[in-house]
Amino acid sequence: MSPYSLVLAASVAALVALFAYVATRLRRRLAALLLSGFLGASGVAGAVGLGYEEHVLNPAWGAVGFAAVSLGYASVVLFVVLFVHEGRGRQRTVFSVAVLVPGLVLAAVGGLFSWSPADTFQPSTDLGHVAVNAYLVLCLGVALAESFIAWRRFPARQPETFPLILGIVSLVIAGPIYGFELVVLGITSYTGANLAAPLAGALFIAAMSVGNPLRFRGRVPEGARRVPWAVAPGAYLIDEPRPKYAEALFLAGAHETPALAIVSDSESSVPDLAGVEMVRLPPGRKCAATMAATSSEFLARNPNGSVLVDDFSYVVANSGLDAAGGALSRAASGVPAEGTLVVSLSKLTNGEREALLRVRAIRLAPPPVESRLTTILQAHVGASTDPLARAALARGKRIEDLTIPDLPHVRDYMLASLADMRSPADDAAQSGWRRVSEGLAADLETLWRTPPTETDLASSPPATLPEGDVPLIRAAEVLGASAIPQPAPEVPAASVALGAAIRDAFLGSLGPAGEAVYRRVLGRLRKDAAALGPDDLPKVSKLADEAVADLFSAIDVEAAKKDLNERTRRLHAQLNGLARGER
Amino acid sequence: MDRDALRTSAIRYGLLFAISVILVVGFWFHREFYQIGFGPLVVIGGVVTFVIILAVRALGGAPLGRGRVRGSLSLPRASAERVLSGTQTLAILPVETEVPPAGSLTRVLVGTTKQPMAHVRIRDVRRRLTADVREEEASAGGYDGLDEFRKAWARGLDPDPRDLVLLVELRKEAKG
Repeated sequence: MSPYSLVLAASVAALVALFAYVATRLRRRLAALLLSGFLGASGVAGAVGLGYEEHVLNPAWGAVGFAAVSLGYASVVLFVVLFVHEGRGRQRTVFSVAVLVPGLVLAAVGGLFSWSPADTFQPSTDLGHVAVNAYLVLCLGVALAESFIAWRRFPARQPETFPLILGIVSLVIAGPIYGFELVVLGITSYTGANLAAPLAGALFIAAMSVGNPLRFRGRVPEGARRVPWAVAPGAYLIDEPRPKYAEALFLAGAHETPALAIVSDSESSVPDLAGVEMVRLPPGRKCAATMAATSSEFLARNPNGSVLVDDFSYVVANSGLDAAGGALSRAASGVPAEGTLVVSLSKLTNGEREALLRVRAIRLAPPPVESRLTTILQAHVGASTDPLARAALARGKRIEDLTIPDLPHVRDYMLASLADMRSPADDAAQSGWRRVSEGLAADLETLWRTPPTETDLASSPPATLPEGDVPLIRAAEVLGASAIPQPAPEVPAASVALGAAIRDAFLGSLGPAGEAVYRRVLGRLRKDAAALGPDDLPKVSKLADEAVADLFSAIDVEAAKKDLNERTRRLHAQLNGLARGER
Repeated sequence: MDRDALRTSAIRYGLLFAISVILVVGFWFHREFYQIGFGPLVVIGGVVTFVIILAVRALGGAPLGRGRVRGSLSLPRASAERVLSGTQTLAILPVETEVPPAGSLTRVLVGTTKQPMAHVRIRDVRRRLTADVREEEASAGGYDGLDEFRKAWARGLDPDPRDLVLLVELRKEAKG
């Protein structure tokens, strides 16, 4: 074997190893496919050259070698341009066609006229060879120019673009320059194979590794719908102290579609995202590029999917504001028409938030959940901290950690607490208690059902709020129905009687918890008690089952489960009786 | 000279010699091939050599296998001593502190004197609201629990739970 054959053999072996690495380790599908195309084509060209050198292959194989050279250089320029310009758009498609069609035509014509790969980059006056040389040089020139422009324009992406420049320069030196020099020097065994292809391939892999997407499967979240919002697709930046609305918006958008949460901490630190596929950002400079690549790749594979970046401050802290801002712009521009990207801007400074204004996305700044809860509780029960702290404790949380999915539990807890506070002696004040409970339930329900895109809050606070934190019930509310004359809406007596009968059935069968379940059922039905009719009874029964199922999942004691089963059976029997007209 | 330093020097100067040989061969080859005159050879060769020396210098600062030391981290003396002894693995700093990126090797300086005390590897950098700092983080940061951290952080002022802090996870690499 000649030294040139040995070098060719080593080059082919290296290309095969790099091809295997790209196929198994790099997760950006399109870029990895194009890079594989370059490595595969270079490997074929090298193998054909080796076959020539060792007189194993006949000249007919020249057409294969020539096609491999043409398509290999086309793959390089496509890889560089589509890697640098992420996102979607018609321009990318037009560019790809403009590069691929001449490459395929040249490969076909070369096969037809039996052009040899050894003719590439050689001085020639033949029109065909001039066209081939011009095309190959143009491919390298465009790739070099694009990577150089990206290197200059986006300083934060230099760790990605610098290896690209080095790789293309090495291809230029070993291709057009040495392809010409070696033959003129009398080394006639030049075969068209670019000996720098393994080096360039390794550098391209290094560029891709800077922002290699994290491994994901594209799972649909487990469990029932947790947040009842209708979310329009798009990119959202949520400005809030803790990522509560961001998580809720993501959970709402992720209903029955693939979803991915990109988090910065362990899974246990985001309990609300249980059942959702999660990946954890790596620390260090790669963080921003990894975030953008993971989001873009996930949405490219799942165009109707949802992605959450739970802690964008982690990206800023690790990669710096410039790199993080650039990555966020790329991620936001890569969101398909049906996809959703939600990014929490919590824990950013004011300056950082202002710097992110240039990112094209829907910006929302909802008030903190706990402050809205406080307002509602102040308005209805005259105190907030103490009952809210107890409700939070029941969820194993602090007040400031209460989130949107916690709201139904807070509502049920508060209603159950109010029900407990009533004693049989309070009969005279029953209607007042009921009004307080209903008002509170309605406002909490509204808060739970209102997405941050609707800024108008139904639960506006009253004009004057009681001072202090002592749990007070305003007499006007307790005695309202009897002491203060109020215009009551006219409703049919039969409806009132049915509503009250249903409520009695809940309380009678489920005990104090029945009030909370009844309110929840009414909330789901979006109806007032007075508006309930016999037609609603099957739905009431179904919704009651769902509410009881939630209670059931919170019980660990077997005896209590049996008791709840028995009570639920009793409730159904009573509801069936009401449906038959037995009151 | 210890074995590590000897090995590092051998590799570094060996690479430098190999690059020099390649440069000389390249100049000789291209001078013959293109019949370049003395003047153009001096200019082109000078530029190429200059660029390569710059690149080698930029790479040469890095101790082989350990990474280049980037920036520094100023800590109070007590804290720096705890880092040195390995009992403190987390630095809780104001959010505006400039910290080298995670993964890099950096110098720990004593706050007032700026005297280098140790080399540490930054393992992770994250932000937290002061209200969300956890008990174990306060302990790893050199405080006797969460209360002491909050007291120390407030410095006698009314603490704002929405204040941000930077948690920098460290690992001691060498004495400074």
